[in-house]
Amino acid sequence: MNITTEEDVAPSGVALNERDTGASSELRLPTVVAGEVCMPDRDVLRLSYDDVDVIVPAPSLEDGERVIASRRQDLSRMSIDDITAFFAKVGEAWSDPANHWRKIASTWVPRVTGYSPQFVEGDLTFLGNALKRAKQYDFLETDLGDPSLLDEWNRTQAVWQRCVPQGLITHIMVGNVPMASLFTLYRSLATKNVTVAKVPSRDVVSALCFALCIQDTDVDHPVAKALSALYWEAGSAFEDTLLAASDAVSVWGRAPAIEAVKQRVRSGVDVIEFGPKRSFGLILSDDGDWERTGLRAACDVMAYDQEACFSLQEIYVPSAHLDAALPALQHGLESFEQRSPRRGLGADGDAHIQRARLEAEAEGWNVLAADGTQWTIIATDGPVAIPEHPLGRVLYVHPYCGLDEVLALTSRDVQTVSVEPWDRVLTVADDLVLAGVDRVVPLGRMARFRPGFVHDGFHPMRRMVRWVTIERGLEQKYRFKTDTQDEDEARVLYGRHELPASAAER
Amino acid sequence: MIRSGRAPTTTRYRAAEYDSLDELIYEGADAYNTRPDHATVVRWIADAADWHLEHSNVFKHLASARGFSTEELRATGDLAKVPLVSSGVFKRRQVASGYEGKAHNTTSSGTRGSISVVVRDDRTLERFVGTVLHGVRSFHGDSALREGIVLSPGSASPNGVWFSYVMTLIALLHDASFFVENGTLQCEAIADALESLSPEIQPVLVGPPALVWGFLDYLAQQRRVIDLSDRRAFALMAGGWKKRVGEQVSRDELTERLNDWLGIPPHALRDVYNMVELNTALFECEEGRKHVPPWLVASARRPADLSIADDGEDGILAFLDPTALSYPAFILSDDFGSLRCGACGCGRGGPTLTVTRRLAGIEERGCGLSLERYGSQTRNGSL
Repeated sequence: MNITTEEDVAPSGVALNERDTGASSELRLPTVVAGEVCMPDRDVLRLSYDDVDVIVPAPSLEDGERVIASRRQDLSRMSIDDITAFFAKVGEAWSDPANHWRKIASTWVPRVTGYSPQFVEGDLTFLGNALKRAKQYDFLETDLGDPSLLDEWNRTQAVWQRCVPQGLITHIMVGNVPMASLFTLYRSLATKNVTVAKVPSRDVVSALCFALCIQDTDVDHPVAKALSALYWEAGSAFEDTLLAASDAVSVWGRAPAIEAVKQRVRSGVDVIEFGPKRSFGLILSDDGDWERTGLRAACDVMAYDQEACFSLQEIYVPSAHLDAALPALQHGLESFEQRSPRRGLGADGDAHIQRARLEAEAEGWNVLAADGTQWTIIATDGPVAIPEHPLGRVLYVHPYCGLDEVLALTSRDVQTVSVEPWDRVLTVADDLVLAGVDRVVPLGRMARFRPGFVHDGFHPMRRMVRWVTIERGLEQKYRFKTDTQDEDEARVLYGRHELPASAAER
Repeated sequence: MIRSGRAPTTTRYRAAEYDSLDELIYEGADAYNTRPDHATVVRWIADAADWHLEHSNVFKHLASARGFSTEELRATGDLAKVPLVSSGVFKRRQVASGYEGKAHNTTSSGTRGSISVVVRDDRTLERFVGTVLHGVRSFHGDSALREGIVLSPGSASPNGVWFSYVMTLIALLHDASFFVENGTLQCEAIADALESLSPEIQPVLVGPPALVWGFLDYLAQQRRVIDLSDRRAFALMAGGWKKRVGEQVSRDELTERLNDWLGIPPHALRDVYNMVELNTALFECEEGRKHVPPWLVASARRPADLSIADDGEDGILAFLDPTALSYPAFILSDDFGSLRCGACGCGRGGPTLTVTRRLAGIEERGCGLSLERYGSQTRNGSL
């Protein structure tokens, strides 16, 4: 993908016309700056993908100042109930197939990301459903326990406790999983933060369309006013301005990208890191239905074509069952290729897969593959680290004899392990999580998150707020060692067991 | 500056097995226009493949997976069927065929975070040197009155970095001086050396493009013009920009500065293509096209299925190089490029190769872990 700048482009008008419905190879998309829609009618950036270009406004330093000056009080004083109600309306709007921004997302996200239209549609629908109020509360309760902490003082132990927003949170997003970008925006706004999102170059469309849908729902709503979503170039002066003013920074991406951001934030500013992670499957025994097992594994493989941290890249199979597993896995991958074809990877992606196949053959490993690069199964000769996974539906199958072999290759780099058969999960769960795994799920459910799931081993929303307390006076004794306030003050203030008479009289 | 006298290039390898391939490499004159026929090339590749099948487990595994046999190759002459070793294999395990005498571990420079190790025995190494000498003879002619001004250290890297070794080969042909000391390019010394050369000496500036550019930048800053235009000077570049890719300038900028500050005309700037896994150097002609030597089979492979791309069609560059015996040099590279079979304006025959770019890293997609994160856990392979 190339990015070029253009100056003084003729105004396009916001009313995105028929060319934005897919007939054209060019999409002009507004951004959102401090709650205001910013049209691509002056200096713009052109992001060129394989077949299409997306044109967005180039951010200016003045835009950065406006983001930083966004009014914080209105959102911080709004109740979480009103916020969830607003997001539910956003979700309803987003779920409407006729919604302008949803239509643009449906049309353009497949063209920009290469994911199949069916797959993208599933993701977009999932987002709309996830914004139903009940689901929002699942989400909030998972991270914060009691969502009312966002509104009011809750009593606990000898304090009143609540959460207040960090202030301004900058989000550096990645585009491999469009949904992830949108949930990070939700987390940040639900916790009442002024939120600025660097939309990912890999997919500028998903996050911008969602942000614009929020604006369309109610442009005057405090949530809408607190939101900015723009594209800017990494390491730019614009980014420096925002990072310098941020109270927390959320970064998705590889270690070098995360480290680069860390070095540029003020000391004491929390950098909330996401990734990189990998995930694998673990078959414990023959449950008698290899066809279903193969389909389940393939379902985990095809999630974002292995580009998500929760996609299955490798699977461990008991050595005794390898011969049964391989045809089942092949059948599963072929079935999903029919139903939900893998996105085109381009020359580089295909080349990585061809090289991986040759490298596997050089090891003497068994390679089963489509005629093209649509799917590949590589059966190793035993558990071994795969230093460079080519992604794109390449499944490494490791025959193993004992769980120790699996655990030896498990570390904090592993996010999710999907297990089959599920009724044996508790025989391995402790060992897996102690070895570093964050999340254990049934095979086939890696991309289906249950209420209560924990992201990368921590609760992100807990880090998007400050936890503040009012420590109660001694009228509440709780576990205090003396019986009365007077008794304690006699000890602390006067160094005696009783208050002096003058003080006692007062 | 380290000064080196010319090496005794007349002591060429003369093993009992000295064969038609050696004869072509070491002594072949006008080899680009009197190319061996297809059957001869097939025989060289098949002979090498026989050797590797006997001595290399890696190649044996590949042949088995791809249903390859040298009998079939000899019968059909279909070189597309020869199994390719991904250059990535050299980063992860030892890939060696049987060899006699001393073996040298030659390595890539590790620009991309991992190092390829290629085992070369004396015969393989000498054949590589032969391909370099063949290239210099074929593209620049013989001259006793040349001096190499080499922008690299004067001795091969102790840890076997291939590029560093290749840079020292100029001393086999000509007097040469080396101008990188303690990791620093000695720009002033280069300029002084160029200016003090006897008038009859033809200077050859040799180095990676980043250092050539660095020297030209120095001349520009110093406003110091050294006019070599009446000396038939030329520049040989190799190795690419590596870790300084962020400073990369276009070839046009480079030729313009070479012309402006040294008087070296654009046609006298020549690139040499090689990589640690390849045992042959490909030289560029005055038309700026890299010629494939007659013993080497080069192709561009379509990424979707590794089929051979059409003339001029971009693909992954692959090479069947029969000159290597200590490892199978049937390589699928990580470069993209194309082959053209049409006649070249320079008058030399055979295909020419265009390198377009390196393969993009996987880390540009996905949350997958990058190589450096847990590459250390990779199992070491055995022969």
